[in-house]
Amino acid sequence: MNRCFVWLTGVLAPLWRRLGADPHALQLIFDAKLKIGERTTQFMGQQQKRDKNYTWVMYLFLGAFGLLVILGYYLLDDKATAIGLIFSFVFIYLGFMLVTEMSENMFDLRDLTILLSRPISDTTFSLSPALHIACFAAKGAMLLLTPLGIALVLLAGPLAALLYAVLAVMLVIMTILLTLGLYLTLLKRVAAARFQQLLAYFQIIISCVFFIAYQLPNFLNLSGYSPGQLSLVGTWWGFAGPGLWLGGIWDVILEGGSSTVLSLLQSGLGVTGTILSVVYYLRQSEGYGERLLELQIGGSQGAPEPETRPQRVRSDWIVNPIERYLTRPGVERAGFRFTWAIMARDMRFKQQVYPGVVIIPLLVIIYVFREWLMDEEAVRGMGFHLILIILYFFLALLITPLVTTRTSTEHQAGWVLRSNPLADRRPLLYGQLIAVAGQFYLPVGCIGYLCLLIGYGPELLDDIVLSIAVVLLGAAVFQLNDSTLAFSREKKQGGYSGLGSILLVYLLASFAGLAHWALTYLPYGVTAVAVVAWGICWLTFRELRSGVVK
Amino acid sequence: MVNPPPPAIELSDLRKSYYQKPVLFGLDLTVAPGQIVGYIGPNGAGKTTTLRILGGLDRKFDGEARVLGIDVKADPLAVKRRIGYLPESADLYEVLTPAEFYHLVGSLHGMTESRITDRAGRFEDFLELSYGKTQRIDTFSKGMRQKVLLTSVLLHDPDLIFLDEPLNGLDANSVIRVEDLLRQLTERGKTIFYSSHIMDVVERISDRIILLNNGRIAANGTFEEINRQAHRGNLEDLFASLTGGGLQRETPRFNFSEDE
Repeated sequence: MNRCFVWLTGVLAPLWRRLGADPHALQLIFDAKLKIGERTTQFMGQQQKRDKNYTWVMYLFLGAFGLLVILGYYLLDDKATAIGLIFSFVFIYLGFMLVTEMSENMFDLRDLTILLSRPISDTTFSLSPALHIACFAAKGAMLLLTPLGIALVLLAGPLAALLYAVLAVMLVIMTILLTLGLYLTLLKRVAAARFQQLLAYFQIIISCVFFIAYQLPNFLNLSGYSPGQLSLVGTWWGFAGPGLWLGGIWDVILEGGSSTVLSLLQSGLGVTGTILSVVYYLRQSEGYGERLLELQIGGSQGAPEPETRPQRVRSDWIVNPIERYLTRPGVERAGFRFTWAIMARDMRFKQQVYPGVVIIPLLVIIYVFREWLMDEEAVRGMGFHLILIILYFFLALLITPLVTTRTSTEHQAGWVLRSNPLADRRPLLYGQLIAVAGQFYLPVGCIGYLCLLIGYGPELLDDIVLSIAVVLLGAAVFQLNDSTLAFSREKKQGGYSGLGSILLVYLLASFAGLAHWALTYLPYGVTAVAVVAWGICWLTFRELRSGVVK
Repeated sequence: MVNPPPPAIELSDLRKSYYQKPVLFGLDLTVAPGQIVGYIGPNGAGKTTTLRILGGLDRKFDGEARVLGIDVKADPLAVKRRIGYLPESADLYEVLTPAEFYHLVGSLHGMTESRITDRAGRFEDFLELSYGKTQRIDTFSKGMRQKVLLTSVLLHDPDLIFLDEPLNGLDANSVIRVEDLLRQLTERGKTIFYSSHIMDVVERISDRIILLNNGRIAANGTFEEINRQAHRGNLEDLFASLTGGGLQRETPRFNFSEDE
């Protein structure tokens, strides 16, 4: 496949020349980058096991999704909307992948030492990482979209399939160039010394937005529609994103008779959007090499400190009370401070954890206030079982960060924990748990439980009290079961190693939720068991804190 | 009658292999307390492996290793309580500030917070390490990171200090300071066992030099004692002579004009 892409780059030589790049140099760099990508364990910014089986599993997964896409097309009566939604899905998927995983390829500082000193133009220099990333994204897009392309030959004829292929290429071009162009704009506008940090926050925010985007349909009240009747292209909804604009082109060309003025406008947006994305990227890539060089200088150790207000190391008014009242001096406190500091500053950790954590308050909002927001049914009409699911889903606020605090890109720094005497890891693990609880569970829990109490009423109080005990118990059991030292495991090793503990905890939480539901049928059942659960929770925490460094 | 202190290090037929490939071929060694021992050898000779074993980090070895009289394999934790270990690759949790890093390390040794702060401050003053209060390690130069590491290793006043390339990244003035610090430590009865590739420093400060070559001890003694074997005049030449380096052969010349 890679050979094919390299060959294609050669075929497109006139285009590169027109854009101001050296086709031969571009092809050579692209070929080298593909080879590096094949051989390195750092795969598009992620540590991966680069065996062939893994790659094939990924391809198979995407291919299976591609088959589901055919079903999506088949189910919707309005085919333009079907195409628009499918393209929107691919746009979100590719965009998410580009934003979260590919910045390291876009800003690979090794390029400076290897490429910038060679006689190549700035356009060649800036196009080479874009081509590499495009190749990776195109593979994913092809697997997702090709099954429908083949099916369209049979379902709608060769013309529709051809149009679909052209639109798919436009979609990929738009997605890649808009996303990478946005990166370049950041590189252009932001001071080099602050760029890496800002980029990381940008990635976190975009990741959260993408997560929310997937959940947005839950906000829409579609109960009055059957899926087949859904129509977005040709309505005001059709302006919502590039995927739907391309659906507009489909509408105008293939369903010309029924297309509206809005469809025409959307198709126009689709065409101009593709052209403008190319122009935008090329404009933003001017001086790419120089700015990358500034980035290296800005990020280097000898660089002068940027003139900004002193950086806050931690928010003492939050941390101090938690630290003072919930941890003992010594290893417990060291574990707490260490975990808190790394969690608060390690961008990789934030990128992995924050989007997953955002989803929980979002669920609370969606399920508790959906009916209320829609002004239809009272909140109390919502099934109690949904409330129970949410209450126990809070466990993820502790387990997700706890799992992530075991791995790190700086895992080799874990020597410091291994080379120093640590007779019992439990106090360290306790400190780690309190840090995670303080940073994630406490703030989200306070707001979430309050929302639930307001939404459902004070009679939910005993259920909340019981669920809190179970959630804390689950986290403590997890800590007792998986004693991996904090931030000391390589990510690629961490993939499945904690799976047993995770499954155990979530299984226990599921049973607890079921038992909770059964208890509601007993008078004072929840209250009585809440007292017992808190007792067990207290004993488990005592066990976790019992280790003493001699 | 008071028993004499046990040797700082005792190795007996120490063997180690990585995936069937032998790295150490039965090392026998005894180091008395209160010495500075330079542990030198070419790349891949097995120096870091030896240090890892002695530091209680690697228990998969054959033979016997005792540190301060404690069996490393049987009770690595007891060894770790009494030693300081500085690894070759200065891997750090870079998002931490030095104070946070010291707190972590000191607490693992059961030190109180005030003691950690006080000691770290005095070491930093001596090593001339200065930075902003909220400055993180990721903004430090290589030399500054090395000073942070050295401070963290010495915080708990270890009896035996293992240092793997302790002078990495330090400027000339800092090297002098570190040398001075190491001497002061031995005056207090501490033992320092360190590996380095900077031969003139090893020659200058070591009470004893151990040369490892291909997993075997090629030379062991004071510089004068070793020099008697090869009569080279300085440690660099002596090193090359004992490890089969370039000095014994004539360096071939590269032909730049062959393809012209």
